[in-house]
Amino acid sequence: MIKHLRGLIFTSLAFLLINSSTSLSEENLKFSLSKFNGNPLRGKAIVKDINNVTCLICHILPIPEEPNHGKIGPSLIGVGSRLTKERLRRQLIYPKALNPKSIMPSYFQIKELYRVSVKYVGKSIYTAQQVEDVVAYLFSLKENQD
Amino acid sequence: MIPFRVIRELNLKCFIILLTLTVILLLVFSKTVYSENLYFGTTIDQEKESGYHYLSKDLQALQDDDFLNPGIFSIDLGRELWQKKDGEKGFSCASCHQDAAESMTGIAAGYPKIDTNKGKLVNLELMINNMRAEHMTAKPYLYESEEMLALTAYLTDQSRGYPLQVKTNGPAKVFFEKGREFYFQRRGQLDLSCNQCHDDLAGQKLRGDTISQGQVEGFPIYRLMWRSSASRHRMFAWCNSALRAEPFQLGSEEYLNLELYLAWRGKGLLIGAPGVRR
Repeated sequence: MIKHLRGLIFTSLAFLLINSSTSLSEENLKFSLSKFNGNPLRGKAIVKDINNVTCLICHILPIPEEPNHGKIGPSLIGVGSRLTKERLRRQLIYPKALNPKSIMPSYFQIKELYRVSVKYVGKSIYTAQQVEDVVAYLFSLKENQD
Repeated sequence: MIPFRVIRELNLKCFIILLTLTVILLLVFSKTVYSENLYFGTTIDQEKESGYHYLSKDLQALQDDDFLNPGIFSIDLGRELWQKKDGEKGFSCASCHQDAAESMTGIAAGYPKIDTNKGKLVNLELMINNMRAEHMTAKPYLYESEEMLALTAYLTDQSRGYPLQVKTNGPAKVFFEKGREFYFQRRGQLDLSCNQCHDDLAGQKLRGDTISQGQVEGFPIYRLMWRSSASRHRMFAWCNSALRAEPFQLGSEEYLNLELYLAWRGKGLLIGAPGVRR
């Protein structure tokens, strides 16, 4: 029963967030979007996946085996020491909450987008679990560690 | 004798007045510069640069060499098509326009423009098909067909070195405004507008690629990634798809409007087709 309830809460929370991307309260951001906690190793694999929209297009990451990291956004080396998990989660879900002019895509948004191609309508860039995995990976990047 | 203290004060006053004047002059000057570039996003101090500028040295050399530039084959085919009789009446382009080297110089630099007969915006591709339909009763070329690319490449080559110069006033204004709106509209799953990269981030690296200003004076280009020539509209569609946005039809009104806006935005850039691009 409790397990079911937990699942229900997670699902409704994810639903709520995906539908009201502009109203991200600090309270909401404390919870994981998905049922399972984020896994930093999976997160790293997602970030490296060139077939998806990867952080590497715009940011430097401590992944030397991948060539040509972008330099448009700030470096993410040591970002886990600078930002909280909530802040990272918010940045991935809806970066425009903090900077309306941000060019960073919202990784967990399906509404209020214009002319999304048929293939991607109703889909966010990352799933809830992928957001959590990437948050976990980024949070694991501490200063003076690499 | 004036005491030294007074001179010093006078000097200070002079200095302050001069400083104020300089500031005012600078403000006025920057204002005029700004108003000229009102629609050029935030890059008001950035010079217009062809996509050529962002190429590697190797690719620049490839474009510069008329014997190696793969886009040149398209021009050769275009030259043949110019002479080729087609349609019921048995006319070719040359039947009326004669030698393109004389009749078509500088023409491509003025497109897209208003087709005065129809009051609609047309680009070179659409104009060619209008001509084929009306004067040759010939079938239209498909938008991205080898023939269409060849003929536009050949015609654009007659304007090589001419500055882009399109009209955006009068009947063109409404199309121009729509094109500008398109350019600044965020779109697709990635929620990006053209200006966010091509105005604000030109010259910066997206992974291994350098972002260009998205200028159109090198089209039709030869794109190495596609191993073929390509029109401006194909590039628009590709760029839209990269943002995971639904592209428009090649030759659609939306892309024509955008093409007009971009041609205006690149005003003064010299036609350099066929450009070679990654």
